[in-house]
Amino acid sequence: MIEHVVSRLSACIEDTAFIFITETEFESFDAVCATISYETAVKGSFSLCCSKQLGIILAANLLGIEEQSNEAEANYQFAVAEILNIVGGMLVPDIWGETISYSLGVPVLTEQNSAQLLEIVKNSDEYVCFDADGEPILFIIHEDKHD
Amino acid sequence: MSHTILIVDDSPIIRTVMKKSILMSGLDIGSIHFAGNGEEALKVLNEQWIDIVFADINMPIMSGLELVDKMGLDPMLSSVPVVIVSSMNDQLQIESLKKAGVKAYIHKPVTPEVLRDVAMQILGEL
Repeated sequence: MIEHVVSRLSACIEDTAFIFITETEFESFDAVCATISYETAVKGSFSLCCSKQLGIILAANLLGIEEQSNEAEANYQFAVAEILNIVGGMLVPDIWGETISYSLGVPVLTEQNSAQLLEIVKNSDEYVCFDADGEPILFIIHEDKHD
Repeated sequence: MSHTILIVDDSPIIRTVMKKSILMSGLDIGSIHFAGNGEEALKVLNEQWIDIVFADINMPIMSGLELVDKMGLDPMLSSVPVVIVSSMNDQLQIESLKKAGVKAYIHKPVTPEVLRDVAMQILGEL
């Protein structure tokens, strides 16, 4: 599953925001997170978390504007949500097969401090962390458990 | 002849990116309108002549799928071409949308070239 995340997230960030990312060890950080639910044969969610600074850079690059502009700062959460939306839409067929029917929810945005993010990672099923020009970006997979 | 476009997406950043892509596409654009979900899109469509709608699927309040259904049931709107722009890659859903009258399906991320090719093909049919 993680290899699909690495491939899709790297390609998406490179194509849409022109930033190269490399896998790195996870160290918690204050983050903006977008979470999107998926439903196919199983239910769960994907989350994408990054520093506010990286969110601003993503927004600026998506919009083709300067990082210092008010518009980039105003859109940093939406940039994270949109990257997740694109990657999430590709990951479900990657993981569960191209012929499977599935649905995705609407991205939900939250701000998490370092301790909260650490808890989310501890409770996740899988995660992978990247370095993007010195800023952290984290992808988290959570699968709903059936009792 | 200049064209009137409606962009329907809950993400403000995508509405802006789509607008820039359309303006860069070389199409003759008269005006571009925006809606954050299907319900807002129906309001615009009832107030304004629109030549082509670019709509996302996953939106709060009213999804792109519901928007397509409602437009199909309205004789005034059923002939307005809709292009779905989505990250979803569900082949069954794409086939079902095309049967419901959706003219084309573009996968995100969008590029000006793809938008131009799809729009020119559809607007050429008008």
